Amino acid sequence: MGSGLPHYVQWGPVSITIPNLVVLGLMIVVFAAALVLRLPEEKPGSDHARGARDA
Amino acid sequence: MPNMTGSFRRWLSTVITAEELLPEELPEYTRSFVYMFGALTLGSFICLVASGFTLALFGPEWWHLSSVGHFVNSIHFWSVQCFFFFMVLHLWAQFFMAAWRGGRRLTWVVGALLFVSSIIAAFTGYLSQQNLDSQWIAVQGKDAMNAIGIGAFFNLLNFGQMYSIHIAIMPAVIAALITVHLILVRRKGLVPPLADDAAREGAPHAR
Repeated sequence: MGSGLPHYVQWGPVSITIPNLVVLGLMIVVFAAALVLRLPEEKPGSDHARGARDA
Repeated sequence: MPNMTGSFRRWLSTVITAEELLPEELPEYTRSFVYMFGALTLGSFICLVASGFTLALFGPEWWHLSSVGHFVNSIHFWSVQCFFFFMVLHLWAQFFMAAWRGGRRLTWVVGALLFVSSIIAAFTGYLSQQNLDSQWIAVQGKDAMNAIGIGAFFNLLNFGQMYSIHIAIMPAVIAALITVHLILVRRKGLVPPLADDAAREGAPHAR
């Protein structure tokens, strides 16, 4: 795919390329953000807001 | 007089009703980003199929040598990155939520089968690139296939076989499993958060 060899991070028996490590870190950040961040509130009176309230 | 068409229609109505399949309302507890990972995975799959259809239509020379081909090839590549990114986040969310609760074991199992099928689809995709990377993977991987005894049936050096599996068999398998997965999700209702027992009891369209 790309030109040149990727750089690796070595940690004991663990060996991972920098791009894979970045993706793994990003996944953890996105997962944590999805747990913590709240969805914006619906505008009162919208169909979605009514549906969520009635459910 | 009973016939196969009538029997099939009656059986289909026991599988899922139109109201269950396309609900207009969802439980309040689904108002969270965590509940979006499954839909994002499905969206990535739709992008994968659309870009893959275009790549299959024009062929390897086009996707390697033309600028539009490069662009569509990149969309296909980044769609699969998003597909696995969101699928693993969906897997994490469902695992930590113990999403197999409330008679949802089969939904979990079909999801696991989808994960394995997606890996096979991605692997045969890497072998279908028609570049040095795909040749390298095929030559290195064939020994692993031979070691586990399936090299004669799953020959990584056979481009025709790998390409056919990638563009015909695996998309059909994944689409079928997604259909079953979604029907099961709609039948049982979206799994409530672990602490939300009251909401679980009141979940609509669950059976």
